[in-house]
Amino acid sequence: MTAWPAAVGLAGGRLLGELAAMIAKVAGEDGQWMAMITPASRLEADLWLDSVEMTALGELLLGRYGAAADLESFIAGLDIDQITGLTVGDLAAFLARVTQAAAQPGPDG
Amino acid sequence: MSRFLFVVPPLAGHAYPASAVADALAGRGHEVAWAGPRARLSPLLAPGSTVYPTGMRPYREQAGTGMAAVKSLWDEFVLPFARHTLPAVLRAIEAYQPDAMAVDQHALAGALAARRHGLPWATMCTSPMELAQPFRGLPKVESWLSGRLAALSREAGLSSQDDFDLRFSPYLGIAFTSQALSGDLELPAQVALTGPALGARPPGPGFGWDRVDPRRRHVLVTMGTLTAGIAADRPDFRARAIEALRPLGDQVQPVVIAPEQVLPGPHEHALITPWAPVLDLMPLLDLVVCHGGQNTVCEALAHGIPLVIAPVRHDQPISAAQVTAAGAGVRVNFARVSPQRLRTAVTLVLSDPGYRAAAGRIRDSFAAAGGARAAAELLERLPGARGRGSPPGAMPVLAGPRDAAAAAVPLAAGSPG
Repeated sequence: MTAWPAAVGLAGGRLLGELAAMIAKVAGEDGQWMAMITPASRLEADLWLDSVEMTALGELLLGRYGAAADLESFIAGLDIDQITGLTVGDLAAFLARVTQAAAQPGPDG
Repeated sequence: MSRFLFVVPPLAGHAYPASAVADALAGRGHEVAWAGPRARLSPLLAPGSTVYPTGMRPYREQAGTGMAAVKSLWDEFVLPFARHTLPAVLRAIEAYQPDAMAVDQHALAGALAARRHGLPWATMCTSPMELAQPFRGLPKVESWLSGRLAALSREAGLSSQDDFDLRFSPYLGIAFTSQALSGDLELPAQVALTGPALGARPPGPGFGWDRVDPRRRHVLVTMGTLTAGIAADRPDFRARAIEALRPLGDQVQPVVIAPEQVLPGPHEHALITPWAPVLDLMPLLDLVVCHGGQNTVCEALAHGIPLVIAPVRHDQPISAAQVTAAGAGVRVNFARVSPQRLRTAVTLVLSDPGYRAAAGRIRDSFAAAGGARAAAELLERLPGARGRGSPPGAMPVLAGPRDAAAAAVPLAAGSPG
C-alpha cells in the first residue's frame, strides 16, 4: 500500500470500491482477484489490463459518472511514463476531480 | 537487372518476409545482398545469401507489455540498433553499389544510409504497428517518438530539409497485409498492400509426423520466443492451454510447440514438440492459438485457419484487434486467461463456422494481393532500379491493391525540400 488518498478526499474510498468492481468486470475476474486491487495497482503492469479492456472500462466510466469522466481524453493528455505507471489510485483521483467539478457539493461526499 | 541491398533486423518476423521478397527478386534476375548482424541474420535467410556484417550489441530481451514495451522497443532496440549499425550499412553501400534498397521499418540505419547516399529505398512494413498508428490519440507519446527520430536523423548528418518520417520511405512502402485483415487504415499514399510474403523456411530438426492423429481435429499452440517473464506468477500460457484442451482430447489433438520441461506431463491428449514445420502443418489445422506474432498470424490466415490470440506486446495487440474485427478469431488476455475461459474461446471458434469463413476471406485477399511477387514488382519500379538493361517487355504488371505508378512517388513530389 502506498501513501494514498489525501488528494482524493472522502469520496476516494467509495470511488475506489466502485472502480475496482468495474475493473474486475471488464477483466472478467472474480471477487478474489478484485480484492487484490489497491490504489497502487498499475493498470498495465500489475492488473494486465489490455487496450480492449481499457476501452470497455472507459465506457463503464462514462455510463456511471457522465461525460466528464472521459478516460480516453484523460489518457491522451499523459506522456509515455505516466501511461506506463498509471495506477488505480490515479484513476480514482481523476474521477474524484471530474465528478466533484461536475456535481458539487454532493450531500454524501 | 538491378542490384538491391536489404537491411533488416535479425528477427524472424522481419527477416522471413524480406527473404521471400529477395528470393522473388532473384528469381526475376536481380541481384540481392543484405546488411545486418551476420551471425544472427544468415540462419534466417536462403543458404548462400551475401550478408555485409554490421555487428550487433547484445540488447536486453524485450520485456513488459503495453506502453512500457513500446518504450523499451524504441529506446532499447530500434534506436540503438540504428546508431550501432549505420556506419557498417554505409560501408556496405559503398562496397556493393546497389541501385536501390529495401529497408525494414525498424531498421532505421537503412533509411538513413539510403538517404545519405541519395539512393531510392522502399520501407518494408513487416508489422502492423506503425501502420495502425496506435499513438494517434496520444499526442505526447507521438511527440516523444518523433523527437527521438528527429535526433537520430540529425546525428546521422541529415539536414533539417530531410525532414521525413524515417518509418516511411517517401518513395515506396510495402505493407505485408491486406485490407480484409487490416481494415481501413490511413496510410501515406506511397504505401502499397501486398499481403504477406511467405517463402521457403530454413529446415529445422525432425518432427514426429507419425504422432499426428488423423482422426482428431488439430489445434496448434505456439507462443513465440519473446513471451518469457510475462505474468511470471501465473502458470505458463502453454500449460494453461494444455489444461484447457484436456477435456476436448477425444476430438481435438493439441500440437503444442514448447520445450518438454516447460510442460511436465503426462499429457496423452497432446503432441508436444520443441519444433514443428508450421507451414507444412497448416493444411491439417482447424485452429491456431498464438500470441499474435506477425509470421504466425499471417501463415494461419494465408491458409484460412482461424485464431485465438493472446497478445503480449508491440504489434500483437494490434494484430489481435484486426483479426477479431475481421471475424477471423477471438482474443484472450495472455496474462490472466484461465484454462476454463481459454477452453470457451477455443470451443467457440471450433464450433462456429463463421470464424473459418472469415479467415477464408482473408486468405483469398492475401492471394489476390500477390505477396512476395507483388512486392518484387514494386521494388523493380523504384527510380534507380528500372532501366538497368530490363527489356521493354519486362515491365511488371502489378496485381496489388494499389497501382504501382501511384505508389512509387518520386521523392521531389512527395516531400518538403
